Amino acid sequence: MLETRALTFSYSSKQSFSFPDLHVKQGESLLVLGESGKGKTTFLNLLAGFIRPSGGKIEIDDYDITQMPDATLDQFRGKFIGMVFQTAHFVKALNVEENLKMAQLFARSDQKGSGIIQDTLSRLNLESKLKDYPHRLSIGEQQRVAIARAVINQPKLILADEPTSALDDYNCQGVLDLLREQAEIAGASLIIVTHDNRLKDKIENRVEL
Amino acid sequence: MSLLLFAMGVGIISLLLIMRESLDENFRKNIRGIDMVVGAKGSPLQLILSSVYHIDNPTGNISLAEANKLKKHPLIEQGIPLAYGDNYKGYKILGTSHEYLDLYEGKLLEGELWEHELEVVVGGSLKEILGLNIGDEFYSSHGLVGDINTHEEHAFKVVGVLEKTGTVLDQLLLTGIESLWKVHEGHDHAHDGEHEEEEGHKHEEGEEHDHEHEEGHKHEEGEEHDHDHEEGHKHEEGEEHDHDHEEGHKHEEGEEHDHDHEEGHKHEEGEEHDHDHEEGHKHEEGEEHDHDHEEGHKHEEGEEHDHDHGEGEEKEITAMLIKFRSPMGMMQLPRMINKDTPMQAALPALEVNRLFDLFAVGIQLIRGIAIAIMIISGISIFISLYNNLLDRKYELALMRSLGASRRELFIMVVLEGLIISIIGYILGIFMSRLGIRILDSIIQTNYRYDLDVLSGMQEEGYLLIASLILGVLAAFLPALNAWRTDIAETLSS
Repeated sequence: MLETRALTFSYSSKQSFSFPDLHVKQGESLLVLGESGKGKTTFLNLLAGFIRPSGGKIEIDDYDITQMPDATLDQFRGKFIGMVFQTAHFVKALNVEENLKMAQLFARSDQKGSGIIQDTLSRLNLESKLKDYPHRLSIGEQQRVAIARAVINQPKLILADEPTSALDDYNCQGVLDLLREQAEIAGASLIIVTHDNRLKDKIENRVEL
Repeated sequence: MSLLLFAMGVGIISLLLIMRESLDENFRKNIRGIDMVVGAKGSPLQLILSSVYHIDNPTGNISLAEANKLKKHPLIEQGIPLAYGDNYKGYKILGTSHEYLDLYEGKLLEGELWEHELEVVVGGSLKEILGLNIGDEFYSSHGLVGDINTHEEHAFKVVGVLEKTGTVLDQLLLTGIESLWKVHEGHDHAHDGEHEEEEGHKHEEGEEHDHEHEEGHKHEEGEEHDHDHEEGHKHEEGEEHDHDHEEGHKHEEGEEHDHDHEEGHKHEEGEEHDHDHEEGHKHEEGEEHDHDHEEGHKHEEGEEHDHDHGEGEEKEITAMLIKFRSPMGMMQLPRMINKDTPMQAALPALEVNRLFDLFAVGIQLIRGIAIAIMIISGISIFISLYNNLLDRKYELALMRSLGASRRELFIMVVLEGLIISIIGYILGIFMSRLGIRILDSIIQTNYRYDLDVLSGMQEEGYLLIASLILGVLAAFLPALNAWRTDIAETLSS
């Protein structure tokens, strides 16, 4: 599903990273652990196609995203990659439903409609929040909406950037469970990039930067 | 904020456009069929404003006989007399002929046209404003506005109401010229109880004693005043004659003459004559006297005199609206009238163009200010979009992470600028319509003048295009910024 080979990236001649090769099968979970300054975020940006590597390959579902033209990459990202960030961000002017619809829109998803949105939200116990504005929700709820958004288009790959570090232990466990659960339902591989050691023992596949 | 500014700019420009268009339309609509206006000497613009648009004071009066003489000129197809002098609650009462209605395609909504003295037909807008209905009677006030002196003796009676035409006709009370003369005779000689008898008398005399009139009239009426009379008369016929001849020969003999005799104005007449005599004598004797006397006197006796007596004795009107038979009239008549008669001729088209030239400077200035406002509002839209997008940078990056392309974000921001400008435009147009409504009501109460609220002018189409371009321009840089959004950096910060 996801393979990286000899991935390197350099911001300047002084600061450059090289990343371990990854092999993640469909439906598998992987924890990428690393302290600050080890290039976690850079690695994630590479995987998401936000930045281009200096060298190496990233293949998602046999597509080499390092070779894709920008526009194709944007579209590919929307369709095949779902993302969850440390703090959830939404378009402020839109409510929960509209934010999810926007995700469907940009992904040019074939399966649109409020049916999917409602199903997804109810799986995350958010069905009552459909018309709420995200900034009015609690942090935990916001993170759940973010997860809903990440899985709404049935992506092949879910990238989670420090999804639990802003949460307390209780919510941390909950979010992790939800991520794995939803990834499984969507049939997506899950990659969690974090320095949060609480997750260390909860996912078998681990890579340290 | 920037939206409001934008709307203001659009609103002001649109308001200007409407006002210019409407003024233009109104001014040109109202000179339809009027090639030339003849009135008393004075400002030609004033003459046009007063007698075509009814928004200024008349320059004075002219002799009806003189005007009628002119009317017979072969180059003139139609001459419509106008007489002012009274108003009712500030709305002018216009004495005229039925032909005046045809100028503005005025049609009766109900009732009938005036046929007799003191019968009035109400303009289309005034039925509601003044609440006048057929059969109503009212007293006019002397002057063109206000109601200081009311003519209580003669009540006008409403006999008809006109349809609205969108022209000056809507704002007038129309009657026959005789009505105004009647009211004013009453006014001037209110103390004269025999007024009506006197009038009848005059008519009879006028008709029966055409020839005798000049020489024998006074004799019949006043032996006592022979002396004065003869003196005066001689003056009239002799030295003063050409003066009177053109302006008011009949005047003195008819109206004043009668009055003088009966009321004892001979003294005044005598005095006046003396003065005239002394002053005018030399003049006229020296230069004009012989000439006028010989040619003009006969003329008058032959044609005009009868005519005057028959139609309306030495009466005055305010102006006459002339329609030429051919464009040749335009070339010859104004010069002829201005040079050879005590009247002046003014060409409405020419004067209106002059007036518009005067307006143009002011309109251009205001338009410049409005354009400046629009440009400032454009800059303001730019700044607010720019700041807004800085705040929403994260949202843009988020959209990218959800699969939006650079191009989509660019288009999105440009659309935002467009939408702001469209809303601003609509708001502005709405504001201008509102403004026109308000202006309209102010102008209507102050000037009795209708501003038509026009819709969908071509210029407003151009204004829309300009607004859209401005919106896109203002959004262009912010949109470029959106295009350039660095997702990785933005999301990880």
